[in-house]
Amino acid sequence: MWQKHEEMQLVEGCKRESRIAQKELFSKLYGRLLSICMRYSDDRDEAEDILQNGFIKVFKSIDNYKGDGSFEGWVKRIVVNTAIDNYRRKKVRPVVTDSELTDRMSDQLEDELEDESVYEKIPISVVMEAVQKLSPAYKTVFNLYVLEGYNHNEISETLGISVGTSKSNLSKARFNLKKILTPLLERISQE
Amino acid sequence: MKSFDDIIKEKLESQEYAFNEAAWIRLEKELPAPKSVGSNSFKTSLYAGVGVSAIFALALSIPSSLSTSEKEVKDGKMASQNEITLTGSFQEEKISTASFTPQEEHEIELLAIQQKSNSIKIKSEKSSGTKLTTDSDKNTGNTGNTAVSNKNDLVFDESHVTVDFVASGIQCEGKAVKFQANESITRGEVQWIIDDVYVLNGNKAEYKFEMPGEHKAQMIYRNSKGETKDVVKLISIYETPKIDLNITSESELTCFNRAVTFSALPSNNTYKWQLNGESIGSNAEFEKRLKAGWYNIELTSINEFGCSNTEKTSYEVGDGLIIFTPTSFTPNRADGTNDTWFPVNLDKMTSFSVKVIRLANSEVAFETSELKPWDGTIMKSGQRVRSGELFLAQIIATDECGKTQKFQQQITIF
Repeated sequence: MWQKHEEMQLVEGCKRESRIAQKELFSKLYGRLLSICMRYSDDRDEAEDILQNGFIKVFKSIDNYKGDGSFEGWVKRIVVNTAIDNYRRKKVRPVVTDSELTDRMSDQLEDELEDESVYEKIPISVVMEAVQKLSPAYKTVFNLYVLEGYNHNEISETLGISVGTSKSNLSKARFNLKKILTPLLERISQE
Repeated sequence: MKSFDDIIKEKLESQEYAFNEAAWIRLEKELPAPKSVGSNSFKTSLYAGVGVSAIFALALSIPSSLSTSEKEVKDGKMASQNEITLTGSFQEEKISTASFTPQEEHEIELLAIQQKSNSIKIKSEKSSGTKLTTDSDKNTGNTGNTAVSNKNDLVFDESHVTVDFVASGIQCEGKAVKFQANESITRGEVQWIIDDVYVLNGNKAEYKFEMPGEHKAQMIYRNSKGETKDVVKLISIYETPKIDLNITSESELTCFNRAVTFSALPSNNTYKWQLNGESIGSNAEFEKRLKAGWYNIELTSINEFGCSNTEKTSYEVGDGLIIFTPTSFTPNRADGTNDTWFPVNLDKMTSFSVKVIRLANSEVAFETSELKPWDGTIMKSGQRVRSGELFLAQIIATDECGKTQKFQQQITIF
């Protein structure tokens, strides 16, 4: 974590458009923020594009940051919003599924693998790959709900979909993630 | 017990990627030009990460109790109670600015100097409560407000530098291409950005392009002042030939050895065929007769661009034509079965000779070069062979492929 004064120095430097400060800020946040972008995108190229567009917005609007709250949190919000914009630009139709069906599918998987803690054995990089394999609609809802802490009403407003669709997409995202991860888990258990 | 969501969240949040210099270079191009030119000439410990030689260092300790009236210094100027701005100059020309927060101790490194001279002058004026010292102060005991440092060895002329590079090596996918910066570049930093993504460092670099096509190689030269120049070249990478290897052997047996056809596509490539380590041909297609057995085949294909690819395989050649010689017959039973003797498959030979020798006295019992079976009559005397007698058949046969084999077989009369 940064020291507060260090963060302030960089923010002030960025407000003066100091290249060194901008680079320092970018390099400090790159690793964590690229990770966020990766889970909203299909591949690294798309993630890098989101991150770049996000940082352009950060540097353009840095004068708006008044020091209230965490600076990293402020940057992260901009990057997540950029990822959502990117999702909207792709004009992906939200996948709507029969919620009863997805519930049944989820139940079926849960029956097969009651103890979800077994998923802890799966390597981090594989989890990221699995999330990337989800459809844009599923992964966006999953990210907003599970990682950003949005509720379904907020997701509904943010993405312009119904609350039902949000719930359904979340269930399907979980189901598909488990479907991708479970065979791997079985292989790990056998080794 | 952790839920599925919690586990996935924890894993995703712990994922962090290493900083990629190319990402910054790409972003920097999109950013508006900085307001203050040369602001990167100073480096503080807070702005670490620019790896350029430092030539001068100041240790600056600033108490927080400075009053506004005490802020003015000649080259170090207090901008506010919470900030001090230093302005470096060289030959009356402003070269850098940097800001620092009081109550902190900062290290300042002057990273860039101008050419044409080998001296650096840094002036400073004490402000009440402000302690400003330089390395040269420490060395010379100079406690005054002016410090002069001569660093001849760190001043160099870059006017002769040609920002260029050459690429050499094999321009084929998966093969190393070597990049070499122009030999005039002896100082500063050289960075290579391949296809806007991959970053290599150093005057020499090597990269294997995994995909054929046009690739972008950018060399960025950063001089001692942190100024950059770049040159971009397109590198054509050619496709490695795909080998379509086919080995077949004839199904109709007319020869002792099997005719095996070796063929490869595309036919306009150059080929090098090896069979069990020995060169056997260079055409796209040819035929070779092989004995039964397993063979290791290696084929190297070279396309018009000189890109090569090698494929190894093994191939089993089945038995060729076999002359079957009966080991017995029953000429005296006159039962219509097995009354005559003649080697099987001799009829497929282009020429042959058969000689049967009586083992008891070595006389020739039967001899022919025609498709004429032996009925058990001794050729010269006209006697009939007796049951239990032993004979030796000697056969010389030449197949359709011109190959001659000699073999012999004992025959028993029953």
